[in-house]
Amino acid sequence: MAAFIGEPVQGAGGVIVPQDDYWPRIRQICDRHNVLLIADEVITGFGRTGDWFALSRYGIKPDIVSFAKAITSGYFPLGGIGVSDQIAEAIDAATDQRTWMHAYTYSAHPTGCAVALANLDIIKREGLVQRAAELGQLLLSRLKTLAAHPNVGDVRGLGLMAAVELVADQKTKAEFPPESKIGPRIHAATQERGMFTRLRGDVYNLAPPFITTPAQIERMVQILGDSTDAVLPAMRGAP
Amino acid sequence: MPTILDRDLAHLIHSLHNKQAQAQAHVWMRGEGAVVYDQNGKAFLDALAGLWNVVVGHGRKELADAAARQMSTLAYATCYAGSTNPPAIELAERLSEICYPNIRRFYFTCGGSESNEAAFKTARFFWKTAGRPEKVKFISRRFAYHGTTLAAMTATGLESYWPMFEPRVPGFSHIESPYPYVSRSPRATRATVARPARLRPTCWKKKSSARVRRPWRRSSASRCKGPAA
Repeated sequence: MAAFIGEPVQGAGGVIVPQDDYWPRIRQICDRHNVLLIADEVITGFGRTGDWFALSRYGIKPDIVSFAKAITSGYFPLGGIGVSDQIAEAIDAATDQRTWMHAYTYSAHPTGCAVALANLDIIKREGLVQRAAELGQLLLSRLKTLAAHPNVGDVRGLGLMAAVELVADQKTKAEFPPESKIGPRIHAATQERGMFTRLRGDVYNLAPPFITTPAQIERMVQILGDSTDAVLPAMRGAP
Repeated sequence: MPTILDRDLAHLIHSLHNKQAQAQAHVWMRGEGAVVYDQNGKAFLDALAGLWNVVVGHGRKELADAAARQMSTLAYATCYAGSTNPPAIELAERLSEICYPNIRRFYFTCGGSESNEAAFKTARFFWKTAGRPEKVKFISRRFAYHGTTLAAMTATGLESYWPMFEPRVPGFSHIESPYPYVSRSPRATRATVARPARLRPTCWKKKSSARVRRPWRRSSASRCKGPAA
């Protein structure tokens, strides 16, 4: 076994936040079995969870971290990996037939790196990591008000990433049959009302920019609540 | 006169291409802060910051200026061994200050899929240099998204990304997702950590009726006829 890879918070899969002792246990298991830990921080890196990198909140360190997305805020395609000192030493030491023969034409693209530097300047200067943490608390607390709807099964999040999972039955957590197309109908209803995102099935993901205003956060929750009521009205207020 | 969407369909292939979806596509025209505007001038709150990435918001002239300055000076240069460039050096330095304390060296790519490919290759590389060439396998998780290039797609745990591109890369297996809503362990995360299961697409097909969820710890093993990892 070479490595375990995981997103600190699973993103596209539906903002799945693990229980607090999950990552320390994964780190222990990897160490016990000599397995590298790769943190896929493509979504969580650069502030999304309220820390510059997400695993630091759990007090552990990966051996390799992969990142992209927020490093340039999407203004230029750029990503990368960071490696532990031990791995870096191995890359430095390897020569001839054992060379690290990995390469991309656009690795360390000067324009991408320049945009990344300017973007990191903005994040630091405007205190956006802290702001993501604070806005995230507002978003999650407002989303929790939607839990009164009988088809809202779960409201979850960490930092400024959150999800609302819609279910056919709150008690059994039974999912809607795919042919009812609840997710796509919610997506359409929110678009009519002026909000755009991506869903995983019937899980509505929210991860707005860190500069979103509190009023815009409130509006997002309002739109999602109104759309849920519009798509699933019969259930509303049922005994 | 063909519409802009006719022209789109005539010559573009989209990520997760879907011709029906494209008939009502938004043509994104401009953005400001947390708002983007489509071809009809309709405003949308950008609830996913583009694809989770536009964290400083849209319309940041400072970033456009940084790109213009660098493009005017030296838009591109190779960074293969024996070459380097100042913004790359400075960015790696900066990352070493904000990343984990044990992580101080960086390799740059164009995005997440490329990053994860580099990570997998580097993990194998590391064990070969350490005299353990047999350590070549990877574990990822159900509901993971690690990208869509072939190894990254294989690590991805959303099964809909697989079937039309099989066979997947050998050496990858998936364990359950730590998904407290569906399987909260009374003994903290024990249940979601320790149960590897080699999942195949057919394992995850859901029946259209009786879609009551059970904790995956049991159900994946019973529904999946494949060999346990």
